[in-house]
Amino acid sequence: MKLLLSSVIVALFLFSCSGSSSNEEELRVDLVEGIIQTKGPFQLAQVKYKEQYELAQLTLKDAQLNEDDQTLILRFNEELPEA
Amino acid sequence: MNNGRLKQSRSSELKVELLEGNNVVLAFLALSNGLRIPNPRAVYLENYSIGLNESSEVTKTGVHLFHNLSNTADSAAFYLDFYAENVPEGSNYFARVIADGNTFNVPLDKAYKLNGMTKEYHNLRIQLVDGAGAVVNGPFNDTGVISVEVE
Repeated sequence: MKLLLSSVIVALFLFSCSGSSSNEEELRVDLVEGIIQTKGPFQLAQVKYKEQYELAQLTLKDAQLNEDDQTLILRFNEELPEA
Repeated sequence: MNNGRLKQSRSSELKVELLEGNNVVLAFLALSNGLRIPNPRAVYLENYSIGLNESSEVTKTGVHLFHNLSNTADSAAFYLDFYAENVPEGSNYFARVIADGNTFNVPLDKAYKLNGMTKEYHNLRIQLVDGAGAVVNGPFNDTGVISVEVE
């Protein structure tokens, strides 16, 4: 019998993200000069963060698993900005 | 477009639909550009199982690689970063990123911008690789080919 395995990746935005925000994006990371690989038509450039985010944390407040309708509700303590 | 299903939220409360069997949930704080905030305390990782079909591959001590791939504003590039769990200290594990057959070997602890994504379908594959060049065993350590459409 094949065992079922899935994963769910959840990104919780710490900063507001409204519409097209390329300027805002570029403010948060810089390309690292000299650390760019080119293969075929692709370039992979390393980026560095402009801030350290040492105090950032994500802590679970509670999790509510409902097996009947196969849903999970996660609540975290951190306040997130509205869009 | 991820190890599994990607969900983005701007709320500290969120509802996730699960499947029968194991459901590994990775939640993290992200910047507005989608990159994960590079702080291990800003990550929540847990396995929730539904029913009786639990996989023995999912263990708290296993080596697991998760990746986070998000569009940039202009869609011609993607941001990419990784979250690796239980990588042995001192090991030289790295990520192998294969884009339409072009292979990049990169450290796990950095974030990247992948340029050159023309408006079409692209095949991506991401693997966790050990120092000998072998893919590390684990349910999330080889994505297989992911088809990504750039619009």
